[in-house]
Amino acid sequence: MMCFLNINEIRKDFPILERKIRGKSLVYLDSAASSLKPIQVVEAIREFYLIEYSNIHRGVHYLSQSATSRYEESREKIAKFINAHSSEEIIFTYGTTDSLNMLAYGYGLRVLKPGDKILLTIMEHHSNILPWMYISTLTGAKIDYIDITDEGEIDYDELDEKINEKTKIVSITHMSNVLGTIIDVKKIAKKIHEVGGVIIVDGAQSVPHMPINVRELEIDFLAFSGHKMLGPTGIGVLWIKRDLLDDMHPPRLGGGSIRDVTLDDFTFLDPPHRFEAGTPNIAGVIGLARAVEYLEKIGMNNVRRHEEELTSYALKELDRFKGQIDVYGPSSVSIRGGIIAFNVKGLDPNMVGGLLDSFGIAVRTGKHCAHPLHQRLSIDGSVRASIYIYNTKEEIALLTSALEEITNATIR
Amino acid sequence: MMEEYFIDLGEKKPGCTENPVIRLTQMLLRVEEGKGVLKVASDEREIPLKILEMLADKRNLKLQVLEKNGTKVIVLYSK
Ligand SMILES: Cc1ncc(COP(=O)(O)O)c(C=O)c1O
Repeated sequence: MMCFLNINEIRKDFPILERKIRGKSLVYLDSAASSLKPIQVVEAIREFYLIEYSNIHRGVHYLSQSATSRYEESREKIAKFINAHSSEEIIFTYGTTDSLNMLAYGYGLRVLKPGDKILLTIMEHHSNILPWMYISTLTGAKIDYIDITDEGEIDYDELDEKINEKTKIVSITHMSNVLGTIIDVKKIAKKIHEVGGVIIVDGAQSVPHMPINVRELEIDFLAFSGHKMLGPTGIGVLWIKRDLLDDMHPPRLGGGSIRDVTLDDFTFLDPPHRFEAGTPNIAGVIGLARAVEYLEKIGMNNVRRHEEELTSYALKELDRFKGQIDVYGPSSVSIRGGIIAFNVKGLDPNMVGGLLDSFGIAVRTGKHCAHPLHQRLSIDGSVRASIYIYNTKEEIALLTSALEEITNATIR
Repeated sequence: MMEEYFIDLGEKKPGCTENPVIRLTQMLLRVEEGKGVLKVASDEREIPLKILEMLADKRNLKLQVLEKNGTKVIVLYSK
């Protein structure tokens, strides 16, 4: 087995991995829900609060100015991480859900007219469905969905047919949080641009796990969360392509976002500040920038290759349980991230999750905020194992050996 | 005083946190923490007894079969 990462060294940065759960070493396979945090990120936040803390932007004193520099340098770091044109395109939010809601209210509400179309897929996370449902009731625009193929890919032929001049927005996940499918967003971007629409990409699952170059992908908007990429909770990013910054109205108004206010009018600051009303999550931004630094040091190509290798091993191991375990999503790791949803035949997925927990293995169970996809697959839920930089081949083997015991116990 | 909790795994309610299996895992943690004992009613056609036994075994809990009537079982988990 090729090793793209020095996992032993990486694991030392995650003290939680030394924990024993019921006397067994913790096997954390729930990073798609939220990743673990390395010491470096926790220390950066701790240090900021203990010796550097102040509010940003409005202060003339030393601490405020140095906190402002740290905050704005973090923005630049994140802009470079996704190859944005400039840091003005980076807006700090509370997470992917918040970013998508901001887009629905700030962009969707502004551009959508009755009869227009918003195109989604049936594999979207609820955070990329519900805001559009509400905006469609406010604007009269209609939502349409792209189906999936038997392999768990989106149906690109159907997409070609459904995109027309009425389609103003395609909002789509870059990596399914259930099937792991990686979507060819560049292909979709080209198609939607031909008819004058825009593409919004939900990068909650892709940005933490693969190199992202927003210019190369030719997309218009990108949303992602800090807590899924080694960063803290409560911080996320909305990237808006430079040319579209003025098409978006700030959905939240208040202090820190305006140049001047009179009794009956106001003028906005330039982007990105006009989109960040109120005191932001400053420590969260600093923690996220430290997480990005950590990932960059490893190299996002190496992250991706490590996960491809582990996913490929896991899929091969799970293949031994044909007839007993159903695995969902593409079989080729070239179009799949490190997310593996499955079901043990005849057993409630929550029970499987509870049993795996008894072995010290943390997985997620249920419908993973993707009810329409589970309806499409005609299943009531699934067990989801998801991997990240700190996971090892041995941990995957522990998962499959636990599943062996479980499947043996279900033989009636 | 030891609490005695009860779950009927056949009793399905809408909503994810209402799932009796999720409640089972929550209650088992309380038993593991020594807060009480847990009585579970189950149907072997849905959840084989071996699975209920495995849960006890891996969590270092005792399992006692209180009743067995066809495929219906009632078991008691204790520390
Ligand atoms: C694909 C996808 N989109 C959106 C979200 C929502 O992210 P957050 O809860 O961080 O806002 C998630 C979280 O699981 C996700 O997997």
